[in-house]
Amino acid sequence: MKWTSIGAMAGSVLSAALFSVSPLAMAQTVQASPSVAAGTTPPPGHWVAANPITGLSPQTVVGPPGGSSCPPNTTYSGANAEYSCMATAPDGSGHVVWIRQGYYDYNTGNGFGETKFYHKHNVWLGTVVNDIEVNQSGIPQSNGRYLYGEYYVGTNGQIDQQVLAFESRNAAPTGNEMGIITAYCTTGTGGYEATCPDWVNTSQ
Amino acid sequence: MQDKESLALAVCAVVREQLRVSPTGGRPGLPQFDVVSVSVVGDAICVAFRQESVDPTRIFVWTIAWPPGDQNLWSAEAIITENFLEDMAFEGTRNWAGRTWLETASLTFLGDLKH
Repeated sequence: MKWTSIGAMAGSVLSAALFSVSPLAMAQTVQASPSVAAGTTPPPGHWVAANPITGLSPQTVVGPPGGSSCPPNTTYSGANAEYSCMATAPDGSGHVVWIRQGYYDYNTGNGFGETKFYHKHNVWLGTVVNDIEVNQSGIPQSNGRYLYGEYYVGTNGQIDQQVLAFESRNAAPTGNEMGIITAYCTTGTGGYEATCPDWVNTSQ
Repeated sequence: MQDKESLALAVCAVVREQLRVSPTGGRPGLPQFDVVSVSVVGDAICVAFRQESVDPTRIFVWTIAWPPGDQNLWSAEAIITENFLEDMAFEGTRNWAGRTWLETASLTFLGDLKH
């Protein structure tokens, strides 16, 4: 499995211009292949960043994840435990994205951070780290958040799964940015999925 | 640190403004809705909204417990807004089977009714 720049795909399958706008908008222009919903074996294909790192030649391998260490003294207890750093990951522009422990309320499905995106959506920490690191930068959203996205392109050029992670760059109560609020998968056509197939995580 | 009550009121105002200015947060595929109010009720935040495509006579009320732990204006705003948008994206009001709900007159409460 390889992480590649979108430039590798632009000429053959899809318009690169679309990718810079929104992976979801792009996805809706492409017929989706049936999802392999179960198991850890992905269908043949590879992951592509929604906003690929510039300057990389096609087929450049971006992963596996690099720096994901947390700064010192960013593990908290008590009322601040949810802001404990689980990982930080730089995007292609050098912006460091925080992934915090967060919380998850099983009764309501609400929460944020790693605890939520893992327990609710079966998105693993390494998946979000990869998602951040293969993108040049987050795609600004109209509500001030930033989207880090990647999608899985099969050998037939069809998109299967997408991983979407939404970042807040406002300050956390403990300092530094809030970071990833939530992350989840959608189908190739943008349909929302309660949980990601395991292979989305094992193929990162 | 502001006291919790004044902080919650400020958060409601910011969430309301966020959902007014950018109802979908830029995400495609969300159902159309109009936020009526965002308010504090006990330890919960209630987002009241209309979704005409479902029932133009009804006001839906989405609830979320005040986020645990220390919060500031922007941490609470992000948690509340993003959870609301995610629920709308995943379920909308067309499919609330997975959520506890209670209908009272024209108000339909969606969420954890313990709060």
